[in-house]
Amino acid sequence: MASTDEEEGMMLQSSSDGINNGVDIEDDFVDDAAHEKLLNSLFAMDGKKRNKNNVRGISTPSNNLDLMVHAKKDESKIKAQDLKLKARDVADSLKKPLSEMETEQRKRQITRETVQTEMTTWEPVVQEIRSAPQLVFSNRPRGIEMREAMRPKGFTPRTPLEKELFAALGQSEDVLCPNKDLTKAEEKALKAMSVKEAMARRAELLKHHELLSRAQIRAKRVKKIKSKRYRKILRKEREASDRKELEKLRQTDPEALVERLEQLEKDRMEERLTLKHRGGGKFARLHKAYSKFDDKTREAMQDMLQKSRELTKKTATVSSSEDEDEEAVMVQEGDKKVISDDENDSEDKANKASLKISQSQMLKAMNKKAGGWLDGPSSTFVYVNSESKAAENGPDTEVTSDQQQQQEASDEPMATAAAANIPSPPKETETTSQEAHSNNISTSVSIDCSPAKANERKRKQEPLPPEGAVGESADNSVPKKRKRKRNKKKDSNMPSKEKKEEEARRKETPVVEVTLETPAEDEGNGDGEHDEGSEDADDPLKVTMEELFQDEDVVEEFAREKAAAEEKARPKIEDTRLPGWGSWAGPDYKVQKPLTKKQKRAEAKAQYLAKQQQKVKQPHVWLNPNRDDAIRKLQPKGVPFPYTSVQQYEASLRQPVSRGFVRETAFKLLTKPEVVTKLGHIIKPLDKEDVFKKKIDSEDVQVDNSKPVGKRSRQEGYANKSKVKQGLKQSNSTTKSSKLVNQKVAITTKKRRRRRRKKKKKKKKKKKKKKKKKKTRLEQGEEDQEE
Amino acid sequence: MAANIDNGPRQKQKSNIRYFFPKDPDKSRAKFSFPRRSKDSIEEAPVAKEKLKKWRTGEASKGRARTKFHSEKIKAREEVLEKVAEKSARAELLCTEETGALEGERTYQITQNDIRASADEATQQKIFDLRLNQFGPYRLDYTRNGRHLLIGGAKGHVAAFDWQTKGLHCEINVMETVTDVKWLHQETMFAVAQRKNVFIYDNQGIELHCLKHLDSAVRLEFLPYHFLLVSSSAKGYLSYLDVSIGKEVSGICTKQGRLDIMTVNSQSAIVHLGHPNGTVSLWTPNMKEPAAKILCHASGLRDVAVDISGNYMATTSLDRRLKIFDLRTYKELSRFQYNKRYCPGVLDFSQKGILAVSRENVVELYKDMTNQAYKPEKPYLYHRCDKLVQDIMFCPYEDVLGIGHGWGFSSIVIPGAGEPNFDALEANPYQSKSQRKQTEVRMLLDKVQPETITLEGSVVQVQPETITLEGSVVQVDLKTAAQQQEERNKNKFLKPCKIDFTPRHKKKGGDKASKVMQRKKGVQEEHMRSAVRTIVRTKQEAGRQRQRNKSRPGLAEGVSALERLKKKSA
Repeated sequence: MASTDEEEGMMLQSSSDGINNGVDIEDDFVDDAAHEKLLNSLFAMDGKKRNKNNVRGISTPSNNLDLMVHAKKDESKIKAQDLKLKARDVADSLKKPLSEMETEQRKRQITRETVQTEMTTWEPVVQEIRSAPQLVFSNRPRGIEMREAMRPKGFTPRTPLEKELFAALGQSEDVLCPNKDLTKAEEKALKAMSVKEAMARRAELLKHHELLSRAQIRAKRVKKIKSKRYRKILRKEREASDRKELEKLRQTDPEALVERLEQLEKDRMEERLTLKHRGGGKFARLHKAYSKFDDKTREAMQDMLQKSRELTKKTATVSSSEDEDEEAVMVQEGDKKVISDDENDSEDKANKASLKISQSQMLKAMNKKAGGWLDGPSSTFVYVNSESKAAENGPDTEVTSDQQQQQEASDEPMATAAAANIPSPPKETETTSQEAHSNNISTSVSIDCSPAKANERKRKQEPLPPEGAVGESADNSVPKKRKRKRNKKKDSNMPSKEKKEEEARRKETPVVEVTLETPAEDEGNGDGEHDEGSEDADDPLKVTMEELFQDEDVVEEFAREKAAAEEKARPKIEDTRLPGWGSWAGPDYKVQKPLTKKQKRAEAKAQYLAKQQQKVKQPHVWLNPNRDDAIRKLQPKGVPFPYTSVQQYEASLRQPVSRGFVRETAFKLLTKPEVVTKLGHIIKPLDKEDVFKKKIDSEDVQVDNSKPVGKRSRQEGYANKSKVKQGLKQSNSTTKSSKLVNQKVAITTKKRRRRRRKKKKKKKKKKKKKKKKKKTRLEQGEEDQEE
Repeated sequence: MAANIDNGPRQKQKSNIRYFFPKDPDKSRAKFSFPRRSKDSIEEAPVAKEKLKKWRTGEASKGRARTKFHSEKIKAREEVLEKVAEKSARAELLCTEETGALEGERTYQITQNDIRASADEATQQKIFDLRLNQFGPYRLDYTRNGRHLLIGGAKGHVAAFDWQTKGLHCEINVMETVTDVKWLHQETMFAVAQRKNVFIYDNQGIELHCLKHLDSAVRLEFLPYHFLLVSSSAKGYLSYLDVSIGKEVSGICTKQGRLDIMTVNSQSAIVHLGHPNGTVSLWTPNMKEPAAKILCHASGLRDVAVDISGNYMATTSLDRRLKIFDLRTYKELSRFQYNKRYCPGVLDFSQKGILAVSRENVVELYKDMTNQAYKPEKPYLYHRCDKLVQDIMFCPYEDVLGIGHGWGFSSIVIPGAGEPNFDALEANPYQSKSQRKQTEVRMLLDKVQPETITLEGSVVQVQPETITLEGSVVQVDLKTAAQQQEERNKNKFLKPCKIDFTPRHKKKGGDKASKVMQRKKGVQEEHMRSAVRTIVRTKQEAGRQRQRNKSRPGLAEGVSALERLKKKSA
């Protein structure tokens, strides 16, 4: 009601407005709609419905300007501006024509936009062509591919015999299919049983499968656990169980025990070789600093050492107790410990004896395993150096010849004085003394021993001659303890560089000298000349070549030369100031002038040279600092364009290409031409339709596949399909023609081609289905229409 | 246009085999038939990883290039290189020949007569002696393909022949002292170092050139890839002559006295000279000083030899020692002492690493000398000649050792010495005349400039593992590059370069978040450790101070510094 009231009010107001305005047209033209409304409201007050006779006809649009204006609710008043002609409308209707230049501009803009869109559609195509390793403008097949070995993907029986066999053997019933609960055999068995029994059995089987899979999953999970603690516990457990098992084996199965012991022995050897648990490892290094403060780390370190001890311990079953003691001493004193030979021998003997007595049974078993070769004569490895012996001092037996023992004795510088005392054949002493004399190095070692002389050397600033490197490794046989002491003393007042050098020298594993034996002497195959030779060697008056040249101190000379060369290579920073410059300021005045460019360069060079020198630490080697100047002129001075790092650039050139370096097939691969053309073959520009049709095709197919199948969409799909089909037909025809005429564009990678092929197949299948459906549908539609 | 893009390596391993056979010329009904398989069912058996690793030439490039396009290109190239490695590994199958060997313990007891008695006829032919006792100790040289032999007696007798067919090319007497003979790049020419000058003859003995600036040469060497004839003179002069253009590339006065020990590293083309002061100096034609000097022995050298891989050097000296050095680290690997009065003399490495050492009239052969772990004390084989051995050389691609001695030349068989599989593009023992011509042209086209000879560089590749980029032309000159970058970055109006010229060595998987975390932790721990260290140090210092102050009356622990000012009577 309120609304009608309002309307009425409005009406009244409007009429009054009209009156107020003094326009007297109101009486003639009454708004029909408003009148109708008024009547309706009046009837509604009575509660009766008014029958309205609607007259059909054309509604006359009121062209009254005032009413049009008044129809707007808010702007009930007519304003002056309403009566004006609106400028905007005028402008719209009467636009000033664009100037020629502007129209041109617009045209250009439009053409640019269209062309741009066209071109950007080409972009991926061009990109693909550019990045392709090879462009082929012919369909002629080229070359032969060779394969070393072929492996068939899967077996599909073809011949009747194959089929028969496959049927008989290939289709085993005991294999569990991935999507089934039970195997075929199991199912059959269940079928054979009574229902109740079968149910029980089935449940049991399922449970079994479930357990199996659970175990699998659990194993996988456990395998991935990264907790160190867990692993540690696990390891401990395993070790304990191993120990138990070993005990058990000892009583039951000697052969298996032997095997196990061999494994242990191998572990021990490995440990002794690598010294993994001796503190050189990463763990030990990292925890060394902590171990003083943290009990746990200390414990861990102790455990590690304990483990090494355990591992390196000789198993009691194989070796005697004496040996173990020996071992322990050796481990303590490091690998350079010298063991005298007779000790070694006796140890071996003891070894053998113990083996014979205590473990004869085991030996038999071992022998059985080895295939009986242990019964034969023991192999005779002859090693001169004691260190190698110490290292090799394992399960294998060694025999040292007397001659080599002598040699060893002579190696010790201490023994040179007492060489005469050693009871040995005269010729031996002769040679040994000669050696000692001739060898500059041994003498230099003795010089080093005396601190006074060493100091003297330092004062002279002469570089030390390389003891370890050139001559005999005499200092190795000096007892370790004494050497260490001496080094300590030296260290305290030695400059750091020398210290480093010393360290490097110490780190270097000493080269083991091996005496070459002349086979003729050993065989004694009676050569006249040879006999003469031996007589000559016996002659004490005979002077060897070495002895003749022993005065020349080659080592020192080399060291001097090297120092001189290094000095020469070092860039000198010259003081270019005039003499007396700055002297007026007094002796305490220091000039703090920034270095000049030249000086800086010189400094940089000096640093570079120092680095170069660091690379080679051996005292007996001098490398020319300018050795790569010639090649540096040829090398690129920076990284060229597409590369972002040196590594990348160098990696790009790492593969030699020519036939002389790589195999023919590889050469072909490396020098594959970027563009392959065929003589007489016209290369036409890319055909736009062909290129894009294909793309559209493939997209369409994708869209089709992705769409859910609703009724509507399916129908739309049909529409698409038919288009696609048309396109396909076209493309098919074009491919055919291209095969014939070689005028086909195929700018898709093989991959994509393959993908499309697959899709085509799918599509064909679908098409067939859909064709059928469509047919039926069409028929139905026709029927409907008929109805 | 028909552009088929072959994306090559990007496609999967699976691909169809395509065989193309020519149609039968007689058009008979015979047809080739193959078992037809569907295209998808063919899959190549993968190559073993170790084999692949062996044939890979280096690390793959890391990171992205400047543009996406180039990144993709590089990636594609990497795939091609991987395929190349695979192909090379597969082609190993084609090297069918195997090295020979003598098996058993005391192989040195086997004499040449024993070998002759048991070997086939072709091998028997390889054992022979030339008794030439008139023209003094002989020097010899084999061609690179091992087919031709050149011998030169000290008293002027020079002969060149195909030693396998025993066909003589020429035999001349130069009527002068001959100090050394050397084949040039092929069997058509050879150089003879005579009393005063070096002469070049062709294979008919016709004198082609007299090289007067190579005077009083003692030793000759030839660098086939550079076409350089290297001669060392009695006056200490080392000269490089380019035989392709006849120009002396470089002449160096070594100031080292008579240079009668010279050998060439076949890998890097570095010349090794041995000196009487026990040093070996390494030379390139680009420097007037040696590139390196190694003090090998404490007394004068007898001979130097470098093995085929260029990594090992053997030296003998007057101190009766034989030493093996590693040329990559310049470290001594092993040392052998001859006992009694014998002094080892000349040396040579075979292609398979057998080392021949002469002592007086005996030649001993050792296997695996470069292996540090294996130290033979008895030779592998042993041969006694009639007279003092002057020169020895292994014949390439044959199990043969040539020995030049006082009474001529003898050729002996050493099983397992030569490389059994030859690369016909490199050196072909069965070369025809046209092939020889072809090869000559190719060699000249592939000639390497002498500037590329460097200490760390490698010219020839024997095995893929030996390829080293270090010091080669493809390497970036890091020093200059870094300098240039620094200079550039100083200019504030230029965009600074960011290329890191000292790439940090990052191990595999270094970029993972967990690894980064680990590294962070490591740094933290490092800090902590250093903190602990400082604490300990300060404590120690304090302790030491205390210890020192204990004895001093006024400064003992717990005593105030002002204590000493107090009245002592109170």
